[in-house]
Amino acid sequence: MYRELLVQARELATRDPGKPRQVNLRRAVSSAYYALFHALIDETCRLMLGARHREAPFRHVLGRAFTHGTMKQACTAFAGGTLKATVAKGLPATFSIPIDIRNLAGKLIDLQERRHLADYDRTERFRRSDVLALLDEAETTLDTFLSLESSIEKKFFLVCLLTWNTLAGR
Amino acid sequence: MPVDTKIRAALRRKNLDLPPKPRVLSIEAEDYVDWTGDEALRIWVVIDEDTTDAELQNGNAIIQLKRTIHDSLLNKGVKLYPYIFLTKPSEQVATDEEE
Repeated sequence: MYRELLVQARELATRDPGKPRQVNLRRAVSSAYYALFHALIDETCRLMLGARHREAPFRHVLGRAFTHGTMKQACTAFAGGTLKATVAKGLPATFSIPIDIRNLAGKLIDLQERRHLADYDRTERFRRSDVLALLDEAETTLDTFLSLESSIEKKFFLVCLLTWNTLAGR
Repeated sequence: MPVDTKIRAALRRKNLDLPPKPRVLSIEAEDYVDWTGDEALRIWVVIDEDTTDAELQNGNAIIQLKRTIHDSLLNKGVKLYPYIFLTKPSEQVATDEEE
């Protein structure tokens, strides 16, 4: 589904030949956010429950447990490149967050904030150049992340998207 | 909290290794509170008016631009998350259409 959401976002952002209509830019931002949101949830659920077709119903049920706020808090930590001491305690001293994970985490935060502005703040005015760049960043960072070989850093990031508040609050 | 000298220093263009395209004209920061209530920064990157769509959709250049800004802030000890917005000069002055 996330591919279709990204295609839809790009179609909306480039639909108007002249001055873009705000409604199209707003919906483009919202679609792009949900593309990342669902892609990351799907990836995490595949990791936790398996990727086979018969496991899909279980993935879809688990997917309902993810929240925007928890994902944002986890991504803020990962995008910044360092985890708070209570989380990092016990991890190998050599642990570091790969740049491709930092970039993707930052993109989720950026899009989530824009999505909130797009859906709830009538005073916000969206710029076509900003939206076009954001859509491309979303696609690039997501493709790069999904093509990364399986690694403990990648798995840890994904699981943190679901568990961050409990983990960081200890 | 007003934008302090550390932030201004971190955003000084001559100290940033920005990609050649899109050409950056100015970088300004303002205090911001995001939708979850966290204090943050809203950063306006004004880019050249002649920047093409293709340059905006070269994801790697924009990713590098934003990463450079974020890392510069982190290196100065600024932990506030930077929400980085691009704009052309003409988009700064444009008025909303009727909706």
